[in-house]
Amino acid sequence: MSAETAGPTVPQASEDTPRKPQAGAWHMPLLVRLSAGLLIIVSVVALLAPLLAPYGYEETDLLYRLKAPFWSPLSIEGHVLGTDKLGRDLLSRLLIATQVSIALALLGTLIGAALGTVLGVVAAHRGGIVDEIVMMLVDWQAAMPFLIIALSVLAFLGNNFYLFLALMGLAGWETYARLTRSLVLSAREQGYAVAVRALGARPLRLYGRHILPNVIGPLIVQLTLNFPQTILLETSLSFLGLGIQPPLTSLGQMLGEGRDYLLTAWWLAVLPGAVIFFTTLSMSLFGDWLRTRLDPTQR
Amino acid sequence: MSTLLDIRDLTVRIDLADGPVFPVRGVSLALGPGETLGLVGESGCGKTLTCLSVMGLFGRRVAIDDGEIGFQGARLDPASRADRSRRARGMGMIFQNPMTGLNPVRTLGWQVAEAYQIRTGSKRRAANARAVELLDLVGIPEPRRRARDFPHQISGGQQQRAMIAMAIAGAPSLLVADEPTTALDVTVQAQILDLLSRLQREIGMGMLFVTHDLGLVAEVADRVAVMYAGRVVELASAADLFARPRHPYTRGLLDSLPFLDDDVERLSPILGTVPSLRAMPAGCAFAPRCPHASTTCGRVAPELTSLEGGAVACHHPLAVRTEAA
Repeated sequence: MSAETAGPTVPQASEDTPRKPQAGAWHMPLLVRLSAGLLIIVSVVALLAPLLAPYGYEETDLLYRLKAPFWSPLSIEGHVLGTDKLGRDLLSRLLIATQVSIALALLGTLIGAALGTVLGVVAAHRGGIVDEIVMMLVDWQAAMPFLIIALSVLAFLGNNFYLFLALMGLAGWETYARLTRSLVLSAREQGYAVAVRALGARPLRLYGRHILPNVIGPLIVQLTLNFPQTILLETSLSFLGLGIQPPLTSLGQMLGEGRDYLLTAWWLAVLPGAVIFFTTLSMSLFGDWLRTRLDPTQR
Repeated sequence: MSTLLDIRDLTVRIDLADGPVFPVRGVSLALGPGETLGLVGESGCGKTLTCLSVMGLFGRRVAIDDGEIGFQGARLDPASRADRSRRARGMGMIFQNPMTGLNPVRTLGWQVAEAYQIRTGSKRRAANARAVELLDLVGIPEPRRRARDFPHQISGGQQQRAMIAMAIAGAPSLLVADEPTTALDVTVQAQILDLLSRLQREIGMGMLFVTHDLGLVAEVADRVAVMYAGRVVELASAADLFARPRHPYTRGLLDSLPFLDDDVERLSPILGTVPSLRAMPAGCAFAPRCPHASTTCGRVAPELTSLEGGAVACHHPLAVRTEAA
């Protein structure tokens, strides 16, 4: 969808038309460039982590436990970021953890966004009892602390990757549903929506090609807001020992393990924490910039 | 069969929280191919709802309560999918406000091409080429370049032209124009009217032209239907209507217009206000404001009856103006 919306603008930007606001349409401020750069690095890491990692993430070496990173005089050759309590290479673990956390958060956020958006559109389109039921589910989910739902589901059904992923997806759907519903309700009364209906367009065309591209801006912002939340949920659950199970690792789990060594080896917790912080911050900055690009009236 | 559009006893119901109201009550209209029927009346008299009934465009809570709409000789069934596509292919509609009538995130070319594609089922590439031709046809300069513009980049008059291009894409046989020039300034208004009559001649469309502007109707329409409080009160050829109005309401409307060649101190307005939808009089809806009302008018609603080439819904139709004066 976003690629298609952005599509027609590209030839315009390259053309030397006298309308000058077009010229800088895809100009990026420095901060956004940095964010984009970091997101690219994170994406590469997420895709290629096993190839980049110098050691296996579960490879222990009890002779070299809790070694310091390269900047410390106590660091040792071969472990750039040092080692953890079992002598596992911190850099390798960080790479794999980033891959796992980003994959989980991304898939979870996308599942939630897709589910919420579809339900929101259906609620707005059908109205009546369907609307009531969807909104009831939204209220129910909003009223219930999700961490408790997640904890009880994981405690009763046991933990596996797909169940965990499904929970990540369920975490934020209600905000999308509520947002989409209200946006669609007002957009479908707009003249262009009525004009398209007058042409005899089917609902799929009406919503998919006209209304959703119009309301996508706030949804993208919601996506960038929701993404850090999903990372934090994954982090919390893994921290509590109900998320990603060892020997597999994630940023949250590393944070949880590193907590015990904050005074002696602070980097064990701070490094994964920094990855979480900068990734989510970049995501928010980039998302905000993208939103204004996707709205032709703001160009 | 020479009738393009045939509306019979159309009644529209809106379900409000405190019960239904009927803003359109028993409207019958007919329109031949290539003919222009003007529909005039003040705000809230049911003009737009009549259009939306023809187009089958109702939101929730609004429904056709009674009556039927025939198109090209066959009745339109709102529930039938085949009829819905027959309607979509054969009818185009121009909306009042071009600023909201175009999708802000799509280019003009894209929107016109889509309209053409939906109507004719053609391929995207052919539709894109046709879209540029259509933009040219409605008088948009540099159509190839404008096709890549977004709606906010062009003026209101050009936006209305683009809307017209969408409405006539695929050459529908009926064009419903719901106050197409209300949002535009007067010079642009004249251009759009010229454009509409030119297109109508070229494509041979019938046109249902809705407006509250009597001057426009005189210029555009072959026949005129005057609506008041959800009913057609008078139907006549445009020339007749202005020369000798038969319904007191039509006369009132004409009397309240300023004419350049008459030297009048004050205009004479129609006294009173339109009755509320909740409290329609049992008889003629205009009776409380009518200078000619009798006791019959308060009890019995007059039917639309033929009278010398036109039709009027009044118990006491006015005589020709020269005699009355």
